[in-house]
Amino acid sequence: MSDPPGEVPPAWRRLDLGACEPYRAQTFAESVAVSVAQGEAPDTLLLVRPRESYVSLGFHQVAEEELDLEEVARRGLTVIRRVTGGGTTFLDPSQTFYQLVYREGAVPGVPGEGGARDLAHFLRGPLRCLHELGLRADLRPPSDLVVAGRKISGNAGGDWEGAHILVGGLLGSLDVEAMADILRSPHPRFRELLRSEMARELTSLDHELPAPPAGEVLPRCLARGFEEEELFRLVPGEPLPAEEARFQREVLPRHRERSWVHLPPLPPRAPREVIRAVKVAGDRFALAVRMPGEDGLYLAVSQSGALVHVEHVEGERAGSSQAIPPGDPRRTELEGIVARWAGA
Amino acid sequence: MGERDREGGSASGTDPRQTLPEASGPRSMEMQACPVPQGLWARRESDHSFTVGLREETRQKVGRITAFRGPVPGSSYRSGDPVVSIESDKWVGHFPLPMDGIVVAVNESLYQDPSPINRDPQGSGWLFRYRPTGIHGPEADPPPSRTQTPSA
Repeated sequence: MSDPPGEVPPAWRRLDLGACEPYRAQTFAESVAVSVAQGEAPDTLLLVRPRESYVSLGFHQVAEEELDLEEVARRGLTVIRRVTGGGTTFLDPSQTFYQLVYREGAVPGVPGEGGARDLAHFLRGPLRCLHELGLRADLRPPSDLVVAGRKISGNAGGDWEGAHILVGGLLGSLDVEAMADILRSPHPRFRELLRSEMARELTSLDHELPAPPAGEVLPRCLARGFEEEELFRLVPGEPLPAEEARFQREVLPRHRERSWVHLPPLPPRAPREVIRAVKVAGDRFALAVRMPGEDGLYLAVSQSGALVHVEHVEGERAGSSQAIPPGDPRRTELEGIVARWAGA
Repeated sequence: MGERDREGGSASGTDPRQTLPEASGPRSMEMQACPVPQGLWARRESDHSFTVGLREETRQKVGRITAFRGPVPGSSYRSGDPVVSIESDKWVGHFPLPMDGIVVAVNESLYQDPSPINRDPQGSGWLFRYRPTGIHGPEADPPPSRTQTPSA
Protein backbone atom coordinates (compact mmCIF):
# COMPACT_ATOMS: atom_id res chain seq x y z
CA MET A 1 0.00 0.00 0.00
CA SER A 2 1.50 3.32 -0.94
CA ASP A 3 0.29 6.85 -1.30
CA PRO A 4 -0.29 8.46 -4.69
CA PRO A 5 3.05 9.34 -6.35
CA GLY A 6 4.24 12.88 -6.22
CA GLU A 7 2.67 13.79 -2.89
CA VAL A 8 5.03 15.27 -0.37
CA PRO A 9 4.75 13.36 2.90
CA PRO A 10 3.50 15.51 5.76
CA ALA A 11 5.96 16.90 8.28
CA TRP A 12 5.84 15.29 11.70
CA ARG A 13 7.72 16.21 14.83
CA ARG A 14 10.26 13.65 16.05
CA LEU A 15 10.71 13.43 19.80
CA ASP A 16 13.63 11.31 21.00
CA LEU A 17 13.00 10.75 24.67
CA GLY A 18 15.86 8.28 25.14
CA ALA A 19 15.77 5.92 28.13
CA CYS A 20 13.02 6.96 30.54
CA GLU A 21 11.40 5.77 33.73
CA PRO A 22 8.36 3.62 32.94
CA TYR A 23 5.61 6.22 33.39
CA ARG A 24 7.29 8.66 31.03
CA ALA A 25 8.13 5.92 28.56
CA GLN A 26 4.54 4.69 28.47
CA THR A 27 2.35 7.75 29.04
CA PHE A 28 4.07 10.93 27.88
CA ALA A 29 2.31 10.41 24.54
CA GLU A 30 -1.00 11.15 26.31
CA SER A 31 0.20 14.65 27.06
CA VAL A 32 1.36 15.03 23.47
CA ALA A 33 -2.10 13.92 22.31
CA VAL A 34 -3.69 16.99 23.87
CA SER A 35 -1.35 19.43 22.14
CA VAL A 36 -1.67 17.58 18.84
CA ALA A 37 -5.48 17.60 19.08
CA GLN A 38 -5.50 21.30 19.95
CA GLY A 39 -3.18 22.19 17.11
CA GLU A 40 -0.39 23.33 19.41
CA ALA A 41 1.93 20.67 18.05
CA PRO A 42 2.16 18.79 14.76
CA ASP A 43 1.55 15.09 14.47
CA THR A 44 4.38 13.48 16.39
CA LEU A 45 6.55 10.37 16.48
CA LEU A 46 8.01 9.56 19.89
CA LEU A 47 10.96 7.20 20.17
CA VAL A 48 11.69 5.95 23.66
CA ARG A 49 12.83 2.95 25.67
CA PRO A 50 12.14 2.07 29.30
CA ARG A 51 14.96 2.36 31.78
CA GLU A 52 13.42 -0.35 33.99
CA SER A 53 11.12 -3.27 33.45
CA TYR A 54 7.40 -2.79 34.10
CA VAL A 55 3.99 -4.23 33.29
CA SER A 56 1.43 -2.62 31.02
CA LEU A 57 -2.26 -3.47 31.11
CA GLY A 58 -4.54 -2.91 28.13
CA PHE A 59 -7.13 -0.16 28.61
CA HIS A 60 -10.00 -2.54 29.30
CA GLN A 61 -8.18 -5.15 31.36
CA VAL A 62 -8.81 -5.85 35.04
CA ALA A 63 -5.54 -6.11 36.96
CA GLU A 64 -6.81 -8.72 39.42
CA GLU A 65 -8.01 -10.94 36.59
CA GLU A 66 -4.88 -10.66 34.49
CA LEU A 67 -1.97 -10.40 36.86
CA ASP A 68 -0.33 -12.42 39.58
CA LEU A 69 -0.06 -9.32 41.74
CA GLU A 70 2.13 -11.04 44.34
CA GLU A 71 4.65 -11.97 41.70
CA VAL A 72 4.50 -8.50 40.20
CA ALA A 73 5.22 -7.02 43.64
CA ARG A 74 7.96 -9.55 44.33
CA ARG A 75 9.70 -8.44 41.16
CA GLY A 76 9.20 -4.79 42.10
CA LEU A 77 7.39 -4.00 38.85
CA THR A 78 5.26 -0.93 38.28
CA VAL A 79 1.86 -1.62 36.69
CA ILE A 80 0.68 0.97 34.18
CA ARG A 81 -2.71 0.95 32.49
CA ARG A 82 -2.21 2.28 28.98
CA VAL A 83 -4.93 4.03 27.00
CA THR A 84 -4.54 1.76 24.00
CA GLY A 85 -5.92 -1.70 23.39
CA GLY A 86 -4.55 -5.20 23.55
CA GLY A 87 -3.43 -7.41 26.40
CA THR A 88 -0.93 -7.44 29.23
CA THR A 89 2.67 -6.84 28.24
CA PHE A 90 5.96 -7.12 30.09
CA LEU A 91 8.27 -4.32 29.00
CA ASP A 92 11.99 -4.21 29.66
CA PRO A 93 14.99 -2.06 28.73
CA SER A 94 15.78 -4.26 25.73
CA GLN A 95 12.74 -2.90 23.95
CA THR A 96 12.51 0.21 21.79
CA PHE A 97 9.11 1.90 21.51
CA TYR A 98 7.64 3.99 18.73
CA GLN A 99 4.54 6.00 19.56
CA LEU A 100 2.62 7.89 16.91
CA VAL A 101 0.27 10.70 17.91
CA TYR A 102 -1.79 12.19 15.11
CA ARG A 103 -5.03 13.80 14.10
CA GLU A 104 -7.89 12.32 12.12
CA GLY A 105 -7.04 12.66 8.46
CA ALA A 106 -3.40 11.67 8.85
CA VAL A 107 -4.14 8.32 7.24
CA PRO A 108 -5.36 8.15 3.64
CA GLY A 109 -8.76 6.58 3.24
CA VAL A 110 -12.23 7.03 4.54
CA PRO A 111 -12.48 8.56 8.01
CA GLY A 112 -13.75 6.13 10.58
CA GLU A 113 -12.55 2.98 8.84
CA GLY A 114 -11.17 1.75 12.11
CA GLY A 115 -7.91 0.99 13.82
CA ALA A 116 -6.92 -1.85 11.52
CA ARG A 117 -6.53 0.64 8.68
CA ASP A 118 -4.19 2.86 10.71
CA LEU A 119 -2.16 -0.08 11.96
CA ALA A 120 -1.68 -1.45 8.45
CA HIS A 121 -0.70 2.00 7.21
CA PHE A 122 1.83 2.99 9.84
CA LEU A 123 3.36 -0.40 10.60
CA ARG A 124 5.02 -0.22 7.20
CA GLY A 125 7.59 1.96 8.98
CA PRO A 126 8.87 -0.52 11.59
CA LEU A 127 8.49 -3.30 9.03
CA ARG A 128 10.90 -1.47 6.74
CA CYS A 129 13.31 -1.06 9.65
CA LEU A 130 13.24 -4.81 10.27
CA HIS A 131 13.90 -5.42 6.59
CA GLU A 132 16.82 -3.01 6.74
CA LEU A 133 18.22 -5.03 9.62
CA GLY A 134 18.17 -8.05 7.33
CA LEU A 135 15.07 -9.75 8.73
CA ARG A 136 12.31 -11.24 6.58
CA ALA A 137 9.51 -9.70 8.55
CA ASP A 138 5.80 -9.45 7.74
CA LEU A 139 2.69 -7.82 9.14
CA ARG A 140 0.30 -10.34 10.67
CA PRO A 141 -2.93 -8.33 10.81
CA PRO A 142 -4.12 -6.52 12.63
CA SER A 143 -1.07 -5.57 14.64
CA ASP A 144 1.78 -8.06 14.96
CA LEU A 145 5.08 -7.91 13.13
CA VAL A 146 6.48 -11.39 12.71
CA VAL A 147 9.72 -13.01 11.60
CA ALA A 148 9.18 -16.48 10.17
CA GLY A 149 5.79 -16.51 11.88
CA ARG A 150 7.12 -15.52 15.30
CA LYS A 151 6.09 -12.23 16.81
CA ILE A 152 8.84 -9.66 17.26
CA SER A 153 6.68 -6.58 17.67
CA GLY A 154 3.29 -5.96 19.28
CA ASN A 155 1.23 -2.89 18.47
CA ALA A 156 -2.03 -1.30 19.56
CA GLY A 157 -3.88 1.97 19.32
CA GLY A 158 -6.64 4.14 20.61
CA ASP A 159 -8.33 7.50 20.52
CA TRP A 160 -7.39 9.85 23.31
CA GLU A 161 -8.22 13.46 24.00
CA GLY A 162 -9.18 14.06 20.38
CA ALA A 163 -6.07 12.51 18.83
CA HIS A 164 -5.09 9.00 17.81
CA ILE A 165 -2.27 7.15 19.52
CA LEU A 166 -0.54 4.11 18.00
CA VAL A 167 2.09 2.43 20.15
CA GLY A 168 4.42 -0.45 19.48
CA GLY A 169 7.85 -1.79 20.20
CA LEU A 170 10.57 -4.06 18.96
CA LEU A 171 11.59 -6.90 21.27
CA GLY A 172 15.31 -6.70 21.91
CA SER A 173 15.45 -9.88 23.95
CA LEU A 174 12.95 -12.36 25.29
CA ASP A 175 12.34 -13.04 28.97
CA VAL A 176 9.58 -15.65 28.72
CA GLU A 177 9.94 -16.53 32.38
CA ALA A 178 9.04 -13.01 33.46
CA MET A 179 6.38 -12.67 30.77
CA ALA A 180 4.63 -15.82 31.97
CA ASP A 181 5.20 -15.43 35.68
CA ILE A 182 3.51 -12.04 36.01
CA LEU A 183 0.26 -13.46 34.61
CA ARG A 184 -2.42 -14.93 36.83
CA SER A 185 -2.36 -18.66 36.52
CA PRO A 186 -5.06 -21.11 37.67
CA HIS A 187 -2.56 -23.98 37.92
CA PRO A 188 1.25 -24.27 38.02
CA ARG A 189 1.19 -26.28 34.81
CA PHE A 190 -0.64 -23.42 33.08
CA ARG A 191 2.37 -21.19 33.69
CA GLU A 192 4.69 -23.82 32.24
CA LEU A 193 2.42 -23.99 29.22
CA LEU A 194 2.58 -20.22 28.86
CA ARG A 195 6.36 -20.24 28.97
CA SER A 196 6.67 -22.92 26.33
CA GLU A 197 4.06 -21.27 24.11
CA MET A 198 5.73 -17.88 24.38
CA ALA A 199 9.12 -19.38 23.58
CA ARG A 200 7.54 -21.00 20.54
CA GLU A 201 5.54 -18.02 19.28
CA LEU A 202 7.77 -15.03 20.09
CA THR A 203 11.20 -14.00 18.97
CA SER A 204 13.56 -11.07 19.51
CA LEU A 205 16.31 -9.14 17.81
CA ASP A 206 19.07 -10.82 19.82
CA HIS A 207 17.77 -14.19 18.70
CA GLU A 208 17.41 -13.23 15.04
CA LEU A 209 20.57 -11.19 14.56
CA PRO A 210 24.22 -12.12 15.15
CA ALA A 211 24.84 -8.64 16.56
CA PRO A 212 21.73 -6.92 17.87
CA PRO A 213 21.67 -3.18 17.23
CA ALA A 214 22.95 -1.08 20.08
CA GLY A 215 22.40 2.45 21.31
CA GLU A 216 20.70 4.79 18.91
CA VAL A 217 20.81 2.41 15.96
CA LEU A 218 17.22 1.25 16.43
CA PRO A 219 15.60 4.67 16.90
CA ARG A 220 17.41 5.86 13.79
CA CYS A 221 16.39 2.75 11.89
CA LEU A 222 12.75 3.21 12.91
CA ALA A 223 12.72 6.88 11.97
CA ARG A 224 14.27 6.04 8.62
CA GLY A 225 11.70 3.30 8.07
CA PHE A 226 8.78 5.71 8.49
CA GLU A 227 10.43 8.27 6.20
CA GLU A 228 11.48 5.83 3.51
CA GLU A 229 7.95 4.49 3.37
CA GLU A 230 6.97 8.15 2.85
CA LEU A 231 4.53 8.03 5.72
CA PHE A 232 5.83 11.37 6.95
CA ARG A 233 8.95 13.56 7.05
CA LEU A 234 10.49 13.97 10.46
CA VAL A 235 11.53 17.27 11.96
CA PRO A 236 13.52 16.88 15.18
CA GLY A 237 11.82 18.61 18.08
CA GLU A 238 11.59 18.90 21.84
CA PRO A 239 8.61 18.44 24.14
CA LEU A 240 6.70 21.68 24.59
CA PRO A 241 6.75 23.23 28.05
CA ALA A 242 2.97 22.74 28.08
CA GLU A 243 3.44 19.04 27.38
CA GLU A 244 5.92 18.68 30.23
CA ALA A 245 3.62 20.60 32.56
CA ARG A 246 0.55 18.58 31.59
CA PHE A 247 2.44 15.34 32.04
CA GLN A 248 3.45 16.32 35.59
CA ARG A 249 0.15 17.90 36.53
CA GLU A 250 -2.41 15.57 34.93
CA VAL A 251 -1.05 12.46 33.26
CA LEU A 252 1.33 11.24 35.93
CA PRO A 253 -1.03 11.73 38.91
CA ARG A 254 -3.84 9.92 37.09
CA HIS A 255 -1.65 6.94 36.28
CA ARG A 256 -0.37 6.76 39.85
CA GLU A 257 -3.87 6.63 41.28
CA ARG A 258 -4.76 3.19 42.52
CA SER A 259 -8.27 3.52 41.08
CA TRP A 260 -6.84 3.98 37.57
CA VAL A 261 -4.84 0.78 37.74
CA HIS A 262 -7.28 -1.25 39.79
CA LEU A 263 -10.72 -0.79 38.33
CA PRO A 264 -13.88 -1.44 40.36
CA PRO A 265 -14.71 -5.13 40.53
CA LEU A 266 -16.81 -6.48 37.73
CA PRO A 267 -20.18 -8.06 38.46
CA PRO A 268 -20.05 -11.75 39.34
CA ARG A 269 -19.60 -13.91 36.30
CA ALA A 270 -22.02 -16.58 35.29
CA PRO A 271 -20.35 -19.99 35.60
CA ARG A 272 -18.02 -20.34 32.67
CA GLU A 273 -16.25 -23.22 31.06
CA VAL A 274 -13.20 -21.27 29.85
CA ILE A 275 -11.98 -19.84 33.15
CA ARG A 276 -8.74 -18.31 31.88
CA ALA A 277 -7.54 -17.32 28.44
CA VAL A 278 -4.20 -15.74 27.61
CA LYS A 279 -3.46 -14.61 24.10
CA VAL A 280 0.05 -15.78 23.28
CA ALA A 281 0.30 -14.24 19.81
CA GLY A 282 -1.97 -13.85 16.81
CA ASP A 283 -4.93 -16.20 17.17
CA ARG A 284 -3.13 -18.57 19.52
CA PHE A 285 -4.40 -18.82 23.09
CA ALA A 286 -3.50 -20.75 26.22
CA LEU A 287 -6.74 -21.76 27.94
CA ALA A 288 -7.86 -23.26 31.22
CA VAL A 289 -11.21 -25.04 30.94
CA ARG A 290 -13.58 -26.65 33.40
CA MET A 291 -16.00 -29.18 31.93
CA PRO A 292 -19.62 -28.99 33.04
CA GLY A 293 -20.39 -31.51 35.78
CA GLU A 294 -16.74 -32.34 36.34
CA ASP A 295 -14.31 -31.15 38.97
CA GLY A 296 -11.26 -31.47 36.77
CA LEU A 297 -9.22 -28.78 35.10
CA TYR A 298 -8.09 -28.99 31.51
CA LEU A 299 -5.38 -26.89 29.91
CA ALA A 300 -5.47 -26.30 26.21
CA VAL A 301 -3.86 -24.40 23.39
CA SER A 302 -6.08 -23.15 20.59
CA GLN A 303 -5.16 -21.74 17.22
CA SER A 304 -7.87 -19.81 15.37
CA GLY A 305 -10.51 -21.48 17.53
CA ALA A 306 -9.27 -25.05 16.97
CA LEU A 307 -7.60 -27.14 19.66
CA VAL A 308 -3.96 -27.98 19.03
CA HIS A 309 -3.13 -29.34 22.48
CA VAL A 310 -5.10 -30.54 25.50
CA GLU A 311 -4.05 -31.90 28.84
CA HIS A 312 -5.98 -32.92 31.93
CA VAL A 313 -4.29 -31.58 35.06
CA GLU A 314 -6.87 -32.03 37.80
CA GLY A 315 -9.69 -34.43 38.48
CA GLU A 316 -10.35 -38.11 38.89
CA ARG A 317 -9.70 -38.99 35.27
CA ALA A 318 -6.48 -36.99 34.97
CA GLY A 319 -3.85 -39.52 33.96
CA SER A 320 -0.15 -39.39 34.63
CA SER A 321 0.70 -38.59 31.01
CA GLN A 322 -2.02 -35.93 31.00
CA ALA A 323 -2.02 -35.12 27.28
CA ILE A 324 -5.33 -36.04 25.65
CA PRO A 325 -5.06 -37.42 22.10
CA PRO A 326 -7.47 -36.65 19.25
CA GLY A 327 -10.51 -38.91 19.30
CA ASP A 328 -10.77 -39.02 23.08
CA PRO A 329 -14.37 -38.08 24.00
CA ARG A 330 -13.11 -35.47 26.46
CA ARG A 331 -11.17 -33.79 23.70
CA THR A 332 -14.20 -33.81 21.44
CA GLU A 333 -16.26 -32.13 24.13
CA LEU A 334 -13.50 -29.59 24.74
CA GLU A 335 -13.32 -28.82 21.04
CA GLY A 336 -16.97 -27.80 21.15
CA ILE A 337 -16.44 -25.64 24.23
CA VAL A 338 -13.43 -23.86 22.74
CA ALA A 339 -15.13 -23.35 19.37
CA ARG A 340 -18.11 -21.71 21.13
CA TRP A 341 -15.76 -19.57 23.20
CA ALA A 342 -13.79 -18.46 20.15
CA GLY A 343 -16.94 -17.61 18.23
CA ALA A 344 -18.49 -15.52 20.99
CA MET B 1 -13.90 3.23 15.62
CA GLY B 2 -15.41 5.09 18.50
CA GLU B 3 -14.24 8.60 18.22
CA ARG B 4 -13.01 7.79 14.75
CA ASP B 5 -16.64 7.53 13.79
CA ARG B 6 -17.50 10.95 15.03
CA GLU B 7 -19.30 13.13 12.61
CA GLY B 8 -17.94 16.23 14.28
CA GLY B 9 -16.90 17.65 17.61
CA SER B 10 -14.29 16.23 19.88
CA ALA B 11 -14.15 13.98 22.85
CA SER B 12 -11.64 12.94 25.41
CA GLY B 13 -10.88 9.38 26.28
CA THR B 14 -13.24 7.52 28.52
CA ASP B 15 -11.94 6.97 31.99
CA PRO B 16 -11.93 3.19 32.47
CA ARG B 17 -12.92 3.78 36.09
CA GLN B 18 -16.30 4.90 34.82
CA THR B 19 -17.97 1.68 35.63
CA LEU B 20 -20.37 0.60 38.29
CA PRO B 21 -22.11 -2.71 38.09
CA GLU B 22 -25.66 -1.63 38.85
CA ALA B 23 -27.99 -1.69 35.95
CA SER B 24 -31.19 -3.06 34.60
CA GLY B 25 -32.33 -3.66 31.05
CA PRO B 26 -34.44 -1.26 29.05
CA ARG B 27 -38.03 -1.27 30.21
CA SER B 28 -39.62 -0.71 26.88
CA MET B 29 -38.65 -1.72 23.41
CA GLU B 30 -41.74 -0.21 21.85
CA MET B 31 -40.41 3.20 20.88
CA GLN B 32 -38.94 3.67 17.48
CA ALA B 33 -35.17 3.88 17.26
CA CYS B 34 -33.77 7.14 15.95
CA PRO B 35 -30.25 8.00 14.77
CA VAL B 36 -28.03 10.30 16.79
CA PRO B 37 -24.51 11.46 16.00
CA GLN B 38 -21.28 9.65 16.77
CA GLY B 39 -22.30 6.28 15.39
CA LEU B 40 -24.92 5.58 18.03
CA TRP B 41 -28.66 5.02 17.99
CA ALA B 42 -31.06 6.16 20.69
CA ARG B 43 -34.57 5.00 21.46
CA ARG B 44 -37.01 6.84 23.67
CA GLU B 45 -38.53 4.64 26.33
CA SER B 46 -41.91 4.97 28.02
CA ASP B 47 -40.30 6.49 31.12
CA HIS B 48 -38.76 9.27 28.97
CA SER B 49 -35.30 7.80 29.22
CA PHE B 50 -33.30 6.92 26.13
CA THR B 51 -31.68 3.60 25.45
CA VAL B 52 -28.45 3.97 23.47
CA GLY B 53 -26.56 1.46 21.39
CA LEU B 54 -24.13 1.17 18.53
CA ARG B 55 -25.47 1.54 15.02
CA GLU B 56 -25.19 -1.58 12.91
CA GLU B 57 -23.12 0.23 10.29
CA THR B 58 -20.76 1.47 12.98
CA ARG B 59 -20.35 -2.00 14.35
CA GLN B 60 -19.59 -3.35 10.91
CA LYS B 61 -17.04 -0.61 10.37
CA VAL B 62 -15.11 -1.16 13.57
CA GLY B 63 -15.06 -4.95 13.37
CA ARG B 64 -15.47 -7.50 16.12
CA ILE B 65 -15.77 -5.79 19.48
CA THR B 66 -13.83 -7.49 22.25
CA ALA B 67 -14.30 -5.15 25.23
CA PHE B 68 -16.72 -2.52 26.51
CA ARG B 69 -16.89 -0.08 29.38
CA GLY B 70 -19.78 2.20 30.13
CA PRO B 71 -20.63 5.20 32.28
CA VAL B 72 -21.51 5.23 35.97
CA PRO B 73 -25.24 4.87 36.60
CA GLY B 74 -26.58 7.79 38.60
CA SER B 75 -23.95 10.19 37.32
CA SER B 76 -24.59 13.30 35.26
CA TYR B 77 -22.71 13.92 32.05
CA ARG B 78 -22.55 16.79 29.58
CA SER B 79 -23.20 16.42 25.90
CA GLY B 80 -19.99 15.25 24.27
CA ASP B 81 -18.53 13.68 27.40
CA PRO B 82 -17.02 10.32 26.47
CA VAL B 83 -19.11 7.75 28.30
CA VAL B 84 -18.50 4.52 26.42
CA SER B 85 -15.30 2.84 25.31
CA ILE B 86 -15.07 -0.18 23.08
CA GLU B 87 -12.16 -2.17 21.74
CA SER B 88 -11.70 -3.91 18.43
CA ASP B 89 -8.58 -5.01 16.58
CA LYS B 90 -6.48 -3.77 19.52
CA TRP B 91 -7.86 -0.27 19.07
CA VAL B 92 -9.77 1.59 21.80
CA GLY B 93 -12.43 4.09 20.77
CA HIS B 94 -14.76 6.29 22.76
CA PHE B 95 -18.32 7.46 22.26
CA PRO B 96 -19.72 10.66 23.73
CA LEU B 97 -23.12 11.21 25.28
CA PRO B 98 -25.50 12.63 22.65
CA MET B 99 -26.87 15.29 25.05
CA ASP B 100 -26.68 16.34 28.70
CA GLY B 101 -28.18 13.70 30.91
CA ILE B 102 -28.10 11.34 33.84
CA VAL B 103 -27.18 7.75 33.18
CA VAL B 104 -29.79 5.46 34.68
CA ALA B 105 -28.55 2.04 33.54
CA VAL B 106 -25.65 0.28 31.89
CA ASN B 107 -25.79 -3.09 30.17
CA GLU B 108 -23.48 -4.64 32.72
CA SER B 109 -23.56 -8.06 31.11
CA LEU B 110 -21.36 -6.64 28.33
CA TYR B 111 -18.47 -6.18 30.74
CA GLN B 112 -17.95 -9.91 30.89
CA ASP B 113 -19.23 -10.75 27.45
CA PRO B 114 -19.44 -8.02 24.82
CA SER B 115 -20.50 -10.45 22.08
CA PRO B 116 -24.15 -9.21 22.07
CA ILE B 117 -22.83 -5.93 20.63
CA ASN B 118 -21.51 -7.92 17.68
CA ARG B 119 -24.56 -10.12 17.28
CA ASP B 120 -27.39 -7.76 18.09
CA PRO B 121 -26.23 -4.14 18.45
CA GLN B 122 -29.76 -2.78 18.25
CA GLY B 123 -31.21 -5.27 20.69
CA SER B 124 -29.50 -7.24 23.45
CA GLY B 125 -26.27 -5.36 22.69
CA TRP B 126 -27.70 -2.03 23.92
CA LEU B 127 -25.06 -0.05 25.82
CA PHE B 128 -26.68 2.29 28.37
CA ARG B 129 -29.81 4.22 29.22
CA TYR B 130 -29.98 7.87 30.25
CA ARG B 131 -32.39 10.70 30.91
CA PRO B 132 -31.68 14.00 29.17
CA THR B 133 -31.36 16.96 31.48
CA GLY B 134 -30.74 19.80 29.04
CA ILE B 135 -31.22 20.93 25.50
CA HIS B 136 -27.59 20.93 24.48
CA GLY B 137 -27.87 17.81 22.36
CA PRO B 138 -26.59 18.10 18.81
CA GLU B 139 -29.17 16.55 16.53
CA ALA B 140 -31.55 14.50 18.51
CA ASP B 141 -32.91 17.11 20.90
CA PRO B 142 -36.08 15.73 22.34
CA PRO B 143 -39.17 17.95 22.71
CA PRO B 144 -39.44 19.92 25.97
CA SER B 145 -41.59 17.31 27.65
CA ARG B 146 -38.63 14.94 27.52
CA THR B 147 -36.04 17.34 28.86
CA GLN B 148 -37.25 17.75 32.40
CA THR B 149 -34.68 16.97 34.98
CA PRO B 150 -35.50 13.49 36.10
CA SER B 151 -35.91 12.58 39.70
CA ALA B 152 -33.92 9.41 39.27
